[in-house]
Amino acid sequence: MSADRMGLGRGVAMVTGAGSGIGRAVALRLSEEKWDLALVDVDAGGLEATETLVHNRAHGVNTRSFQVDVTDAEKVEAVVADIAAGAGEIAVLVSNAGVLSVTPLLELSLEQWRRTIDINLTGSFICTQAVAREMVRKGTPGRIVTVASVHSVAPGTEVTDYDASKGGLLMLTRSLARELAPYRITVNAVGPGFIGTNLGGGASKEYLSHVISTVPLGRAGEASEVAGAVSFLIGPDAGYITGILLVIDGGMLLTADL
Amino acid sequence: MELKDKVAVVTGGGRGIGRAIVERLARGGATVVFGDVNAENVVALTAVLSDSGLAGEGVVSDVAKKQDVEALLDKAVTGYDRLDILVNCAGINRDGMLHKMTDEQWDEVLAVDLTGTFYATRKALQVMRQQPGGGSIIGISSLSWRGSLGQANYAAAKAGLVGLTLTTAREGGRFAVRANAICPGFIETDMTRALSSEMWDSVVARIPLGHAGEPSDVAALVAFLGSDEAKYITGQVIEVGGGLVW
Repeated sequence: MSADRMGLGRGVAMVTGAGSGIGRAVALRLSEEKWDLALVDVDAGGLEATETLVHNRAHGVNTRSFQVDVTDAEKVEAVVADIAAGAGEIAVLVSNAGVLSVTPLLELSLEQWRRTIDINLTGSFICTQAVAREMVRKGTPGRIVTVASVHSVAPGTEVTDYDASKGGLLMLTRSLARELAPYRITVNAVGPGFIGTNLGGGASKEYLSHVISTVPLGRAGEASEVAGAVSFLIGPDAGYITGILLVIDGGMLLTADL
Repeated sequence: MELKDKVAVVTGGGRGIGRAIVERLARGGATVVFGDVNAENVVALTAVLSDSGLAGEGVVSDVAKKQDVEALLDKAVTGYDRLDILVNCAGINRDGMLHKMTDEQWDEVLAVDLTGTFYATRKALQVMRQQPGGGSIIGISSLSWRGSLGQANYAAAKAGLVGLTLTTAREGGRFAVRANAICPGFIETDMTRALSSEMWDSVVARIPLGHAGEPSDVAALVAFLGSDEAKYITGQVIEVGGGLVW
């Protein structure tokens, strides 16, 4: 069975952007599945809160937190080396750290463009490469999931930098899938649509209700629903799936109103 | 037991990918009613389910015949009072280069692979849109839908299945009915075992994960999509191909 060929014992699951939103939901879900956790975020307070929730929900799971900016390649490599030396195998990476803000294209500063690309795209390159190197070194048949977006394939409204970063993240994911397949490492992206926790930028009630009206299922998604898809992709059932974008959007992409 | 209390219908459940789906859904706790055109396969799989203490039964049924499809779905609905999951897996191929393809080759494949899917999906949607909790409709398409030498009929049917699936997702959404399509890549079944070993090797050489898939790989994704874990996923075409894009 493919699942056996990709066979995973539980090891360490590293989650970036674990201090809030989808990253937190993923950490909670993985803790319920008895993964030891390495939580990464630039926000120490968020990390602490996530750790508390994890310990309340899943006793006996080892959790370590690292306050790190994913664009700092040296720090990321040091964290990966630290985890590998301590708990052993990093079997899973969920590369989720990202930022979103709304700015009309003609007003978008070069500085903001660069920052968004750096965190959302380059940060994922740094983290996935560092973890992939470790997985290859140890011969771990690992699983990598990037948190992309419906905006990897369809533009949003006044989020040019975000759109470009998520589009790039999808191709990064597909490229990694191809290169890491010979090492039995699968790499996939999840593409959340309108999820309750992550629509940033202080959107108005009218805009939010307009967005929901474009969703065939008639509601926003929950972060736990994204975490469920991540759980499937890193599990033994998904060993023959690699290089895909699994969209979790209630059908929003179908209505061409993005 | 992520599918406990769910009632599922699987067309083309008698062998290959369909059979793996029936077994996986039943092991996941669902009651499975499956149809297949081959009576021996129906009897054999029904016996396996019964011997394993799993809930389910088979019906000899030809998806190209509307009355067979209605009877198959009715068996689930009247027998178990609901229909939570429909898997459209019945499919045949009749390969030939397009310039020499006969009307019969075209008509037969479209009748089973696409029109049969339409019959089953229409009926399932009628039931699901009236029950609380909606349902999950899963179509087994193929990477061939992007174009495949000697498979103009199969590719057209599988592409048609995608259009049907996406429309079902749009129309069914407000009734909590989800619809998704799965594109298996190169899976080891009777269909692919019929290839010459040179053809087999040449396909496998292009698969990033380096080997053919197994029916259980597809069945596992079906079980996920049929479960409540996937209730925000709809309108998707999901590849199970080891990285093969075709």
